[in-house]
Amino acid sequence: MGRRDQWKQVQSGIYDPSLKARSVEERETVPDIACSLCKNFAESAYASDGRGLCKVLKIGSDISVTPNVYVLEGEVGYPAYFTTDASSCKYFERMDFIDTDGSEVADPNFRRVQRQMEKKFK
Amino acid sequence: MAAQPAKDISTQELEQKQEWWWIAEKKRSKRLDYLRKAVWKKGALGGNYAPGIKVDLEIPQLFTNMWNFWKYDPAMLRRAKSMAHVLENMPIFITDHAQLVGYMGTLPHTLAWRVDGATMVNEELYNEPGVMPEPEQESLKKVANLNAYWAGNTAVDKLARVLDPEDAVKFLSGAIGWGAPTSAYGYSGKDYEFMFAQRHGFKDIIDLIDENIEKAEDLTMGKPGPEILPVYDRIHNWDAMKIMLNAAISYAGRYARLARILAEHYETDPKRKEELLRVAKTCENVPAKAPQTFQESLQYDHFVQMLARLEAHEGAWPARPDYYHWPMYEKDVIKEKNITREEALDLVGEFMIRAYEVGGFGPRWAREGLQGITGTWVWTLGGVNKDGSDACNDLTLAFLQAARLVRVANPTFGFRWHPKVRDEVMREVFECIRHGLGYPSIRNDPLLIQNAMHWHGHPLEEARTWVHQACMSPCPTTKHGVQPMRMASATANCAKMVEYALHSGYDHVVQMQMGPKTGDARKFKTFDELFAAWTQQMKWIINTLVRTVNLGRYKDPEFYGRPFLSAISERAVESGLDVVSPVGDRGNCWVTGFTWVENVDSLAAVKKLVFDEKRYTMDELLTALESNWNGYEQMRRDFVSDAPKWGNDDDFVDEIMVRCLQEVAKHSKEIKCPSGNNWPLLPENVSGNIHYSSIVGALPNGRRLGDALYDGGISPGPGLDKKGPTAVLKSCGKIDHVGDGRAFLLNQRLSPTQLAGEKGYQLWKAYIRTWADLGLDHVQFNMVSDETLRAAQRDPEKYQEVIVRVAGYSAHFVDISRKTQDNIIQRTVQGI
Amino acid sequence: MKYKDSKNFFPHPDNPQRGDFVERVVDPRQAYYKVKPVNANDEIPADAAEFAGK
Repeated sequence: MGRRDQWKQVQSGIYDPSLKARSVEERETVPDIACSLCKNFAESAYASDGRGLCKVLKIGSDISVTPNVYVLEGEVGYPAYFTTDASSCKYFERMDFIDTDGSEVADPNFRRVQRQMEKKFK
Repeated sequence: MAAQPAKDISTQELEQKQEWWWIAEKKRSKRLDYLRKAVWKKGALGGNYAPGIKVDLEIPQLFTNMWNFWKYDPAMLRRAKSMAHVLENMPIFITDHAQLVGYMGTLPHTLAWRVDGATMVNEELYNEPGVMPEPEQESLKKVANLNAYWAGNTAVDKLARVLDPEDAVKFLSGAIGWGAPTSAYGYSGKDYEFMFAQRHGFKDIIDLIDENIEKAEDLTMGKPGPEILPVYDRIHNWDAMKIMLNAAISYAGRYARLARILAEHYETDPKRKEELLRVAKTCENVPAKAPQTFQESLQYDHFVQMLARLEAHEGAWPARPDYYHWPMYEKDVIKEKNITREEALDLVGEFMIRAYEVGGFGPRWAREGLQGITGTWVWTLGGVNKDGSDACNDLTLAFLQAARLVRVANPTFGFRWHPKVRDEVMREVFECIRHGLGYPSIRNDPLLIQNAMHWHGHPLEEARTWVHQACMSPCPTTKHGVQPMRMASATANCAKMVEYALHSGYDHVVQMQMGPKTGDARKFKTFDELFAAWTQQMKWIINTLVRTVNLGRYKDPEFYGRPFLSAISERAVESGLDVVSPVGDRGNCWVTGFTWVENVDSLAAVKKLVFDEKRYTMDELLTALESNWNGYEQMRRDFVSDAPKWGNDDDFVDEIMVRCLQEVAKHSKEIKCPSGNNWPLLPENVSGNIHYSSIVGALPNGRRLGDALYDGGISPGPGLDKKGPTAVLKSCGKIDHVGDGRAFLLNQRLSPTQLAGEKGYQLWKAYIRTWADLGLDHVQFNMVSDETLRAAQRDPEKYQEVIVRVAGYSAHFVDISRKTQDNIIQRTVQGI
Repeated sequence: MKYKDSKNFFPHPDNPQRGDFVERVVDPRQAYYKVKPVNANDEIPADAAEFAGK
């Protein structure tokens, strides 16, 4: 795969807007085992809408299929969303501290400021 | 609501306590007091909007309905028709006591939402706590529907599809810069020369457009040939401009009608009735015609700003109010005495308040980077006329005086200092600083005019019209000089330059190979090897950002379109092109350099402790950095205290600063903007130093991941400038403020106690003389004591009105995050 | 109640079927008059009924 095609794949994984055309119900549900609760998930430093990258899995992985596809080598992390169901992911590690306080500033590793996350932790 | 001062405290006592906000309350008129307290602050508290602030859903719905209806029209025409529908149907309001009207939302507490800008921002909005109007569930449904409509169709989505995917992914990682490469979220300069100096009302502009359409139709109905082909599109563009101008006149007419209805049917107070009728007359006259009174002049300007902000989310407010409103002020206040100076001062104060209340929903990175405000409204005062004579006038004084009465954090002022400024004006400037406003910033006018000519080739007369395009960068307000679109996406997180040089381009925070693989730094044997890697990473970061923004600018007329902004710009009215098109723009681009000085202090530390003194090896340093200095505390302290730091007049580190800047300056002339002009660096930070604190990894200046970065520009690290204010100025004076970059921000904290009274003024004036003699282009001051700031941290309710200079802008201290507050307190208070 | 029957409705001179409906609002920070273009024959919604005033 050429350079451009590789990055296109990454781009569509991270920024495909069609992923966002979801119902209110889907948008409001944060599964009990979700990527946002995992210490291996880092939120995007650009968009605070809850998208992010896995710090362990790399691009090409897929935890939405059975069996999960795990790619551990690569230059870009596996794209996920704060509501992504991680119940089947063997790399899920629950994070003890989750910061939902939006009055401080960006911290890709610990902060999850979405309204749905606030609700979940209240 | 802020706590109230004890009524029996005298002004003198309040002055001694430096509680200037209570003095302002005592001195300002009842109208200004009401209007100032009536403002719903839209700036975020850290990163969150204040309670009670809600997103406006009505305008995006009106816009989207019509956008969908006109789906076969080209971008500019489609936007014009959709915007006209919004202007005709959006609810409008007039606040009690107001004499100036117009807001970019439908209610005073609402944030405008640019629904067609970026899917990511729309998604953020959906997930944002606290901003949905009640009932929340109903609002969420509306937003979800709007988001579904726009997903993939916003300006940023369209651009992302044509960008190189590698650039798109790396830019959108958020690690190397911020901003959105579209005029949907830009800063637009306004062609004040066309509207105000040449006195064109919107009807005059429509006449000009009609003449141009007529000439164009002679071509399109004439002899066929390739030269007439572009003309068809231009006719559509002119039509779009006309639609917007007519819609704007009708929109103003709606305010006129409301004011008249209120005067005739609701108002019982004869004085207010008279005011409302004057508001009605004002809105009937402007923007349709060129202003004839001072009130009309301000109202015209305010309408222009609101209309531009209804068309796009504008992050700045380039303006020069004492210059362009002077003719009507002079006529009404000085020559014809139609209004008193006090009445004029009331209007000026209200003009500032109207700008203060403006706010749109911004992505979180923008809120965190501009804590406490919604954009950098830096208005330009002072300076020179086109012939080089002093432009300061009584309106300059009025703005400076009104600022102390209304004490808003936004707009702030940048004052164009030059040797001919009268003492009377300098005293007023100083009073604002002494009152703790943090503004005006002081700009070296002769030097910046020279700089504008050096970097962008603006002719002298045009360069002399310059205004702050955002926080810092000068830009003319002329036909070819005005910059219609400056997107923040050429804003570099410069600390990544040295970070990537040390990690061969890999970013451990966003987990991605970002920059070029410049080699394992453990194997570097000389400082020059490290510097070469730094240079490569610097070029890569700047190139990636500039490529993105250049393409965004070039494609913007197709992906977004600015019919209103075009309609108020002489070159677009003349050419029929979207004003954002680079054609006819001389070019005034710059790369904002956030977190710049970390490079200098880090490189100096490595040079001294690793390569010169060999106290540590590169391997040891890299290991310590990879552990975020954990387990290496003594070593970290050595890198903080034993390495020279910028701002102490130490040639060892100052030479590295100059070398880095010159390397960038060389590159700045190799890369070009869409108009073919240069891209100089402009180091400054806003509160990006806090936003990036958990995004920039550990650095050799001793900083850990999570620590605040320096406060920016060429300001020394907080508390690291230990040799006094003159040493700071001397370090900064080693930079060529013309040839090494576009402008250089310098924050300084001064002691309010030392600068009290006449002696204080004379000390400050002497400081400014030294600053000018050393050839610096910018300086801004915080003059609020540690005691007050700490008291405000303990008891924020009591200190709601304390303002501080953050960097390039001011904010209420209580509206910035704790980390930012601490960072300001840590800055060295310089005795001068 | 229709807009046209309210004293806070002001028909547009060029098109009496359309007009402005004026509401007085006092929020926690300020008082203001708000106006919205409406159709004369539309029903006034419940949340604006208090401003209708026959």
